[in-house]
Amino acid sequence: MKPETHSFHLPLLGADGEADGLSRRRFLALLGASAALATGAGCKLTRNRAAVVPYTKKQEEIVPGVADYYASTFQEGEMAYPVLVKAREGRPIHVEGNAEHPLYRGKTSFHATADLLGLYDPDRVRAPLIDGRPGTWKAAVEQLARALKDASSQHKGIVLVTPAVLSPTRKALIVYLAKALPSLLYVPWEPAADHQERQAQRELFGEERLPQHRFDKAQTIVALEADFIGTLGDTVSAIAGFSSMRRPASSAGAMNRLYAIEGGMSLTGSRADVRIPMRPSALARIAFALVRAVHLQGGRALPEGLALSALEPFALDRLPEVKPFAAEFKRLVKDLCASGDRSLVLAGPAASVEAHAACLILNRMLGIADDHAPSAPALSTPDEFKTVVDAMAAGRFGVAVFWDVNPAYDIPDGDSEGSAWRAAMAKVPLRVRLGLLKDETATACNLVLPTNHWLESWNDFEASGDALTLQQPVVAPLYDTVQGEEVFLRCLAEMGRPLARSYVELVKRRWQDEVAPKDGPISFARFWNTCLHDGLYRRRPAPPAARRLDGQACTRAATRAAQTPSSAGFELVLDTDPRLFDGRYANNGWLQEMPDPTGRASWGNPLSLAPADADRLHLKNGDMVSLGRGPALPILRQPGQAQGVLRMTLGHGRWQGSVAAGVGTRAWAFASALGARSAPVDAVTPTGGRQELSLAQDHDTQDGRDIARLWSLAEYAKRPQQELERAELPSLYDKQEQKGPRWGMAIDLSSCVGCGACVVACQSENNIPVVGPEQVRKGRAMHWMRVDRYYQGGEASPRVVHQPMLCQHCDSAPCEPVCPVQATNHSPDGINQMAYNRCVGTRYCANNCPYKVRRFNFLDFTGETPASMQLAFNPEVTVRPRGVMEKCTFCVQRIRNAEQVAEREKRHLDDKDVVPACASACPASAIVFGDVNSPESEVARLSRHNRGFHVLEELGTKPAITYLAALKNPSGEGEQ
Amino acid sequence: MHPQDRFWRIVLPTGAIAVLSTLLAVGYATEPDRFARGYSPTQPIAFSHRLHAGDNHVPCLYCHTGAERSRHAGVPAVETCMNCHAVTRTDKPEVQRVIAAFKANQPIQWQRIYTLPDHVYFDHRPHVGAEIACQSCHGEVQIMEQVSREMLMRMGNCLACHRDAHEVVPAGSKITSGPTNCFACHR
Repeated sequence: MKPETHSFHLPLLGADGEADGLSRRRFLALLGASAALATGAGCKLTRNRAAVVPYTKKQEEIVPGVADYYASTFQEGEMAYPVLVKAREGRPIHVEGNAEHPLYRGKTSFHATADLLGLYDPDRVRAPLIDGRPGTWKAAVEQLARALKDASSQHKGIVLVTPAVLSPTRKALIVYLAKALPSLLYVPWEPAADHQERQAQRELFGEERLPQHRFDKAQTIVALEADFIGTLGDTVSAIAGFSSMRRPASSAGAMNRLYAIEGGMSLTGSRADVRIPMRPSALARIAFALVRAVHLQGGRALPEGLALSALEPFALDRLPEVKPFAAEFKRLVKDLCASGDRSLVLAGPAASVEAHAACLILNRMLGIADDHAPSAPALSTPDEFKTVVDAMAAGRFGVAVFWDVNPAYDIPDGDSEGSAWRAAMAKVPLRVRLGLLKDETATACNLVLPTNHWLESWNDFEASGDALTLQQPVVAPLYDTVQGEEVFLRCLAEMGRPLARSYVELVKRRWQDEVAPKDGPISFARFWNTCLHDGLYRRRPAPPAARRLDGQACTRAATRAAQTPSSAGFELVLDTDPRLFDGRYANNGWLQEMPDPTGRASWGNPLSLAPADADRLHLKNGDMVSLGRGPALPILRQPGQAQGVLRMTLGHGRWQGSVAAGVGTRAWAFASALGARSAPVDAVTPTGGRQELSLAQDHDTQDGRDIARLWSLAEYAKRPQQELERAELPSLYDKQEQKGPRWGMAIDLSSCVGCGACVVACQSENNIPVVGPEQVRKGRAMHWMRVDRYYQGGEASPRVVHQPMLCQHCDSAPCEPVCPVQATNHSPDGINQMAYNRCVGTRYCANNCPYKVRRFNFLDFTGETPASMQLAFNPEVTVRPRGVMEKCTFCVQRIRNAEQVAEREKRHLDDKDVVPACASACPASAIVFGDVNSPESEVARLSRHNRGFHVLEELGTKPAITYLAALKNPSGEGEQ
Repeated sequence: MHPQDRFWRIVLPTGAIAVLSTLLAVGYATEPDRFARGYSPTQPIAFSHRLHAGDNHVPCLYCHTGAERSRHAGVPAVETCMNCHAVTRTDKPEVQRVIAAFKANQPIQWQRIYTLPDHVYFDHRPHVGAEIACQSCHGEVQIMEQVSREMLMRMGNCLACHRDAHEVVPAGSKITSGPTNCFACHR
């Protein structure tokens, strides 16, 4: 029997789908054809007469149409993340995590995924530029080698500025280079590193180590301006560890508790169970007050040499900043004492050195072992870097080499007229830039040497203690570029001190001498191939010696903290941008268009302001203000922000790069000193101007509707059982016929931290176009997946919940019956499918979709894609033209491929074989995909979970996506 | 002239001709050769499928190896030709051109015969896996001197088998039909 629902369809169509007389399809074909002729698009008669060009010699690993995966490593600042690069016919198209790595287990930073665009960036310098004119590598290397040799023989300085060096082989090369050139000054420079943390460690321990926090063990976490989820250090393993403690099996289960004490609303603050808005200048006092309280109430011994009397000024109940939050702080201390070594206290770069010192003391007192942390890569302090710039200005250097660094952008007064930077550069005869792009620093250099992208390079990395990782080229250099290391090898050869013929030879030689097990049963060639295949070599690191805490230094830090005056004016916090980091990804359209996870502004970095402050100054979102220095900038009201605190992110306001230039404001311009991350601001003055923000979300609350559920643990426990066990709602629609698998998804809002890694992965996998700031303002962003953010409660201290929102693949999808051409309908495996070639662009479906996840190509967003960037397209997904609707497909290309692979291997398709891009990228493992019909599958288990709910369930849409309510674990509740 | 006469004698016929010629022109322009049967471009090397696949019984999958492993059946690398032609028939001029291309590392620009319409992701794997003979879609290639297209590249042709596959699958096969949902081929 035919289902009755067919009466919903067009009357033109008979019951069996065939029309009486003129068929619907024929009618539409004619209609479309007339339109095609009118636009002249139908006249491409020859477009199918293409050639098929096979390889001359068969490539062993390449089967056209089948993806290859290569293990590699992506470096970002002081971190190196292992990755797996997906390549099709020899070109990289997607980057995911490497499951072999013992620490990261298949997760990686979304910057690695997004930096695929860096490889195909049309702005890349394609040949060496000598005094602005394209030249040959031979000439460039000769000039550089001669200059290096001359400077060395004339005892003129040579300065080499690089980012943090995590590669032991690169380090060895630099050491060798320094031997060959005695006047070489090597400056490792990371402008956005947490210099305060490093200084505190130097003072207290006499050495610097990279913190490796065990978030997967911590019961109580206290974050002082420390955005460990969004920007601080190793966010990937932090999110994984943190989220693993946010999934209690039941309401009685254990869950960690996060206290965030911060000025602005960071991603970490938005996940906090208890969030205390606080000025950054108060953090040192508060941290020392915690030291004192933990000693007095928890009986934890103070470090030797730090007397209780030194902490006398820090009585918790006497600090004026603490008074409004006395109850919260009381519980915080209680929790810290109770959790002991299962606690973590962290401070971020906006906190002072003293606050960092107090955190180090606290962790030590609580018995949190930090001794397994590997020593941190050497970095110059901002003061050291400033000395270098001064020495440049004094004419002490003959050659300056800037390798993948951009100091012209980082220095507070920048490259403006009469700036210190410009004066310094003018005094260096040969200025050399090694890098991908012609950026702010490169424009002032006489030698611009284009380097390989990391996807075209060899290297090795020693970042986490558990494994050494390898970087290998996935594609031959696209342009006339060489690897940075190779440039120096060529220079050394030119100077008559050859080290190796190529850099990969040097890497291999070092691995043979130092890494490969001696007298092992296998040859080095096999050892190397295995490591290259896995991307890493596991080894148990020798535990570093325990560090001794210098009690005198602790006392000195406490004294300094006590002397810090409390400020009354505005305080500005400069955070690294969760998307653009320190600005190195500013030319990346995917990251520019990705909305800020809390503020939800894309394409720019407005100054966020507490709503009370904004009201007092009569400011609305987008109103321009002046801070007394630097350019005027637009503001964003940020609920939850502490009064008197201003916050903005670094990385914007570049003036070179076709994507980066002119977007946002350069935050370094407001820094009080080089690398300083908080600064006093005397006054915020409205200028009267306006700049419309590209906000991806213009409604911040749920208005009492049950869209993203957020419960406290106590609320969860109080819910009656029958309410948690959901009954199926009655429906007028027929049930979808289900044979075989029915694909579905479960998203645990309690694990989800809202970082947006899923958004980037989806964009890369599904050829989603970048539309630009104006189109985003019109609500035309094309993201198939977005992460909504809702505030609950008052603007002063809201509770925040993030919700990844994508096509819900409803069983009774409201979009389906309204499509006049049946371009969207339901597949037998439960997917709401979208046929682009049927779509005529009525947009009825988007109008009828209650979740607003359908995206329409208002303009030809992909047609203008530069040729080089077209190489980043996934060939398994249609590139959509103007005038069609699109939306999440559950990565149907991955499902289809997994089906075929399973069939060829003559086995049943296991739902674990299919992992959509978002689920694979989620560092919190919050997204689970699978077959809901298979009773033992993880997704089926989660769909029946008693925290599970469907968004707008009352509409009867029967979504295939089950959300699990977000949980907060605020202290106090349920304890009385 | 009466306005109505003007309509009947000039406007209507002109309009009708305009509409008709538009339809014809559109029909011609939007019916590209991908839909046509019998499209048989001259190939850069006069390779004979009749000789290789027919007379010499070389299996299709010997050269078109991708059909089992990939969406694309693929055209063999020149190296595959050299498996035999390094020694056989090296005196023939066409074979000598293949050898020359191999030695010069010059890929051969074969002319594509089957082009899918946009938005279609045809996968050879399930079709080969269901033991559907290549000839079911590609015609009797083993008797063609120069290959010509035998199947109209239209959705109706796909759907005919996907609705009832008994003519193409081997007798006794468990497979009776293919999927007919959009995402089976479009994505």
